[in-house]
Amino acid sequence: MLNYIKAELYKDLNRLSYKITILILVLLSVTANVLFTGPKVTALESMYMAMNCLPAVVFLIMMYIDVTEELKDKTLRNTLTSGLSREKLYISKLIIPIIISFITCIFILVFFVGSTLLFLKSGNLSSAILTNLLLRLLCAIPLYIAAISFGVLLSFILKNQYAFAYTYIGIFALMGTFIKLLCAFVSNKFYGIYNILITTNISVLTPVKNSNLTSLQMLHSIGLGFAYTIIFTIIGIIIFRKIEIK
Amino acid sequence: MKDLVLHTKNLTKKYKNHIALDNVNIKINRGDIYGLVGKNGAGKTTLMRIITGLSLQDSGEIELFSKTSKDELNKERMRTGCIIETPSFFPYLSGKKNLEYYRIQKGIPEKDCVDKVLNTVGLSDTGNKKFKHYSLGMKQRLGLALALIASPDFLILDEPINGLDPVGIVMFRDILKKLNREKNTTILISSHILGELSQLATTYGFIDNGKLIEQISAKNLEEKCREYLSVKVDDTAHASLILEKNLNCTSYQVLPDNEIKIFKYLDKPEIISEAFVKDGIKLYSISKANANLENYFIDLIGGGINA
Repeated sequence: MLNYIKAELYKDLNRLSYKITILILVLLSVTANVLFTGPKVTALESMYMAMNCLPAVVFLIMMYIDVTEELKDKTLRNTLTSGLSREKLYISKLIIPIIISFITCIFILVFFVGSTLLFLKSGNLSSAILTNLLLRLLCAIPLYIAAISFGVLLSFILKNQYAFAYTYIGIFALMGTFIKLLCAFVSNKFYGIYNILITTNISVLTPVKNSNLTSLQMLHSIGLGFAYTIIFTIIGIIIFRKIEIK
Repeated sequence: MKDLVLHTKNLTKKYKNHIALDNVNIKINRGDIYGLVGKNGAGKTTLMRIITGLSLQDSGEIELFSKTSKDELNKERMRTGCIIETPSFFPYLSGKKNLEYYRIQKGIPEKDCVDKVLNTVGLSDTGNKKFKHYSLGMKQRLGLALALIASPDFLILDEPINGLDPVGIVMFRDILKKLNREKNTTILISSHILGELSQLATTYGFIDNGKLIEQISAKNLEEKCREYLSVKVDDTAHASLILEKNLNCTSYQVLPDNEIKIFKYLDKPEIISEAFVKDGIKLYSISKANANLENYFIDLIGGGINA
């Protein structure tokens, strides 16, 4: 399993398209800061942007390392025939995007925070605010991992790259709004579902939506992230055990 | 007793209403080159997919290197190399980088094994050419390189010579023979080119409509396919009597449609015709014939085509 992860990292990190994607994302983050961040924008607002950008980055990276590409190119069978069990292969397929995504996110955040420091009004950012941002990001990590585990599960179900991409974007971009509409027109009980959505909970952790983060909120996010990850992974393994690999 | 590398016990696989494999029992001994012969859709690829773990059987058991549990089978699969259908690789990587990826994945410490195996299959000069630009023959060669990279004890090759040019086919055959001779590598190979298969196989398995209809050693098959006189008469019982009593010949076989296969007097058919006519047997035809692997297979499946 470790060898498989090593091999995947060798493949993904040496891919030209991956390097170009990182470059584009770094340029976009710096450009966003140049164009939109200025004396009027507070550090908290800038951090809010950063936290909301992360899932998008995670998604983009997943597009490069996703299972659908392996299923399309039929390379997954080379791995399965070499004796790696389906369970280990599925778990590896979850670990790899997590590693790649976090390498990418750290890389981009360095440029994003760096350029924020350059363009923000002096005195607007302190070490206390940076520590606060770090804490919020750490609490959000289990939720990001949950989002990745959902993506891996979806890619095994849908197989087609485009169907996977549109469904994934659609669910994360529109699910919150859809549930809110249900709350407004059908029943208030749907707020229960809204409150446990991954996107809702990432939003709760952002400084603009919630300036005073409590320990309970942090624990709730962490617990929810782990619960989602476990559920999505178990479902994924059950499905993958039965799939015929072409 | 020889070591069994593979033993399938009542292996059955269904796809909706279609039975792809029906209680298949095959035994492959260490050092065998097992030629799997069957029509398109007979179940050859399904069998290989189950052995390699790509598909799951509905019932039955696989014993690989004497191991049967799921975890043990996965472990033993590390000792195998395979080509199943068309070889697939990452299209955006070169052949060398693809093999480097699999070298890391298989945990092979020797970095030079990639160059060595590329050289073995005749792909050492492809440079940075990406896999997506490879011809079918080059893809097959790279597939063989992947199958060989970890020096497997058991090779499973599904139609491996498809798309190869004549030079490639000879190279392929020589590599397999060398591996079998020098490293005692066991090989399970299917091919539509039966003439090619007959130059390699030490044992044959004939499969039709998901059933293994015969398993035979190359030596026995050769015996069955040897030259004979095909004689058509009006009374095979009477003719048999003449053969045994008058001509002292017991090496014959009575077939349907009043045909007799006689394995003696191949250069003197007139002795047989004279003996038959003398005893009042009507002789319709007499001719020399021999069965090759193709004829044998077609006879076995009852005259089917598309072998």
